[in-house]
Amino acid sequence: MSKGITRIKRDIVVIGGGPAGMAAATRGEEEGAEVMLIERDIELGGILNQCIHNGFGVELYGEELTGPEYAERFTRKIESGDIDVRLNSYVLSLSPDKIINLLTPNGVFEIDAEAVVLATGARERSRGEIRIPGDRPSGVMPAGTAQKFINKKGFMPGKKAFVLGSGDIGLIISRRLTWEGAEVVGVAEIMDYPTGLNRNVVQCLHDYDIPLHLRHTVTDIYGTNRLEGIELSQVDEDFQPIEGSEKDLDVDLLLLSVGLVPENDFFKEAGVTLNPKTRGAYVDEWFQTDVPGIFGCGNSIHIEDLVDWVTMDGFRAGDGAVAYAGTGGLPQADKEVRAGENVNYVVPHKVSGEDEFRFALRVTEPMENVDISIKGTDISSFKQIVTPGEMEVEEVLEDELDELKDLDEVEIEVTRRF
Amino acid sequence: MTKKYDVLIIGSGVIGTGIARELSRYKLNVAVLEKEPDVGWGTTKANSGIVHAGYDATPGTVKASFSAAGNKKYDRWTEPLSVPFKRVGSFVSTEDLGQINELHRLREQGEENGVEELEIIEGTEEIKELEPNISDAVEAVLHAPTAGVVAPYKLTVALYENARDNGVEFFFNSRVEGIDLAQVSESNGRFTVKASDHDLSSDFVVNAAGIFSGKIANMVGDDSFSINPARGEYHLLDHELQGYVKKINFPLPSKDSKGILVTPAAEGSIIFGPNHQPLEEPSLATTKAGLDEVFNGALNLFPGIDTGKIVTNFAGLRAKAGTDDFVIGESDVAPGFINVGGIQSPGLTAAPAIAGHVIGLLEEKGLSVNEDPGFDPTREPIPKFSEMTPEEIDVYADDLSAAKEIVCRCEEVTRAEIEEAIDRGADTLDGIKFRTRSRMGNCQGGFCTPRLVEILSEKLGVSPKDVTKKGDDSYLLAEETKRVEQYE
Repeated sequence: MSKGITRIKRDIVVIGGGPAGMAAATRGEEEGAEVMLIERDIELGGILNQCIHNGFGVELYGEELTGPEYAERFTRKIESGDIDVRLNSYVLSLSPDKIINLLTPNGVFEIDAEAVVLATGARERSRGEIRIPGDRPSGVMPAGTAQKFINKKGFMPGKKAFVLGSGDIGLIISRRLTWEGAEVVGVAEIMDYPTGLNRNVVQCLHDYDIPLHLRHTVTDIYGTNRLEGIELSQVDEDFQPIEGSEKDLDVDLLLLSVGLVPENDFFKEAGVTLNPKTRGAYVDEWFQTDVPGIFGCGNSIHIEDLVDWVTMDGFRAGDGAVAYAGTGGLPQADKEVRAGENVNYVVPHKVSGEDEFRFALRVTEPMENVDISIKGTDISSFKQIVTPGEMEVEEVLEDELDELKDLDEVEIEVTRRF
Repeated sequence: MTKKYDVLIIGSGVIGTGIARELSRYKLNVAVLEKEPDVGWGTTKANSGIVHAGYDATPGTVKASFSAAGNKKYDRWTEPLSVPFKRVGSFVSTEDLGQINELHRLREQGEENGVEELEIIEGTEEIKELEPNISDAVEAVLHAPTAGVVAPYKLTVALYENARDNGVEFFFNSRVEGIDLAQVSESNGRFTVKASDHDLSSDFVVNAAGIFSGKIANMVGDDSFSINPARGEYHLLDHELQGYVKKINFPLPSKDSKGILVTPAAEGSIIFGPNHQPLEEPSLATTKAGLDEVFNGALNLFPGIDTGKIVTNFAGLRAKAGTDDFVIGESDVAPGFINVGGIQSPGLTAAPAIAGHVIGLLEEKGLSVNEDPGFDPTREPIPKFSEMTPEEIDVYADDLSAAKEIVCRCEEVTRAEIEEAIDRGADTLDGIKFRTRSRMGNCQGGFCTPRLVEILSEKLGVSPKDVTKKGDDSYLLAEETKRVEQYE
């Protein structure tokens, strides 16, 4: 018989055991906080576990690790420490005053948290969201789902594939499919530049002669039961299909790599304000949302390129949560950070100006020979090339903070130097 | 030997299954033949999910005689089956007070059809009190409080389970290839229905084959009607928008259809659609033009709705007869063969009235109908985790480990619900979806599909490669990876 809901208290509860959550939890523990780490899967690591390719950790460790190797750096530490890890556990609800109802294999718990870190990651956009018309056969799925089938379950979801979207997941799955003996007929990208990292375009497409169709999209899907083919069309400046450019391709698998969306359900439930641009929460330099004591980090805030950045954000959020849980407060972040010229969005959204911080941005348009700078200051750094596909990360150091003192808002701009 | 039944029903949409369930009240051997692997996969699974008030049908048509009557039966029909049905009410809106006569005409027509409580509301403020987010341009509406929403596939599954519990036999993957009007003998009825892998015989056949009802009628030499399918396309929005749209919202109707509507779905999401596209051959493919038309039509009524919350798009088919009316009655050329064809909108509304009518018709034509004292009208739903409080979950999941695994995180569906759906007859991903809502949420199965394939494969005792989305060759996995082949 159930003994009723058990009530417990924790300094910090981290929701999500992927790279962001593991970083926040380990940092919390290091600083002496009582930390609970909640993961719905049977193991920690999140999506890293299915990313068996290498390339993780270059920024943070100076090494090229595979996803599972990268995850292991944290799981080992967590296993030997005192973090209260709850696997196979699901958050049923999260209130603005940080009461969590949690379903675990041992029943339901009510946890009273001083601080909460949401590290819930992202989900892939689906066919319906981008409204690809046509039949609705099997054989159309997000690239990440296919990656899980191949790398974790040992099954190929098709033999002759087309990939829509040149984001990193789409590029990496193209190479993976090829290695497993499938034919990848091509990759289409609606923009006129690839949206994934350049190194992935080279290593995953060029190396295997997989054609990349820029300014193209899938405009029809054929097959009543199983996918039989697709229609590929060129698009005009307004991304509308150009009549007469249609081409039919026989494929039995269509993988969608058409963007990630932050998993923001718990943020909404807790009453956190979201940025319509990123669909993640507005956060300050400590990754605290506008609900005091609720933090967010990693892809649940904005879609990042490298897991290394995710980890660093997790550390920072962990630091913030420790400070909040210990003292109930952090420096007031009252300077708004605004996206200026050629900046699509920037994270964080507010800073105090009292501590050094890092900001991440994506540009709106590709540009060469640019300065990424804070308007009205000398804080600036030069970049040879910026594209929307690559996130830019800059630091504002201790000795530069003086320059922000008199600013009410911090406007970040990307301008051409010459 | 061909097995003989008292009644054979061809087609397991809401009409065929509804008739089967009503027949299960009596001491009869009833069988249902269905070409798909599950119930409700034709017109039933893809429509607006609306129980219309009954004002649209022209008085004197068969449609008119069944729609208001069907509406009145809905509470009593759904309640013992534990199928959620909500009388949310409907609006027909106009932005032009010059068109208000059309609303008056609809109201009078409705009253003639026996619809109660119809009222015309004028003035933005009054309208917005009931529907806060409707376009400011709407000047007047016809309000029909008796209109409601129901999940048509859930209703059909409930009818199926209850009919089956009361003795009706269902044969799935059984496509009717032909019907012999055989010599009547002791072992054979008037009709021998030749299905994919077996023959069944009966003195009475009910043709509820939806889009294919004209073709089935042809098999007994009845060419009195044919079906011209008309496709309607839809967008489905995330349940996060629940409450944004309160009423079933229609524009003024056109000649062919009731127009593109915006309605809450019975299960919490919002539906846009349908448009109207006559087709030569049945096709459920969506089109860019059609999806755009539906999108724009919906925005006319609700300009502020967050279209970024569209989670999927789909198409359904209207089974339109040449007469544009329901075809219900005994065939002129084949006594005992009852056509229930041309059931386009408002077919879902009319379903309970049609079922009752068909039983009367069968009795009139000589079927002996005796009540079965063992008939149980109730059917228990699969316990819905997402609707439980944490306290209820604690008790429910206490000794049920499958209830402690949430498989579909968008709709909060547990392994317990999925396994129970399989135990109750789902053997495809779509079958599980319609019963539990897994894969219906905003990730559209991105996260849960691999786990669902695993659970289906374990429960059915088949290889994951043999798990399908919707039967036939709709497999998900083509082969094992090289790794498995090399090391095994």
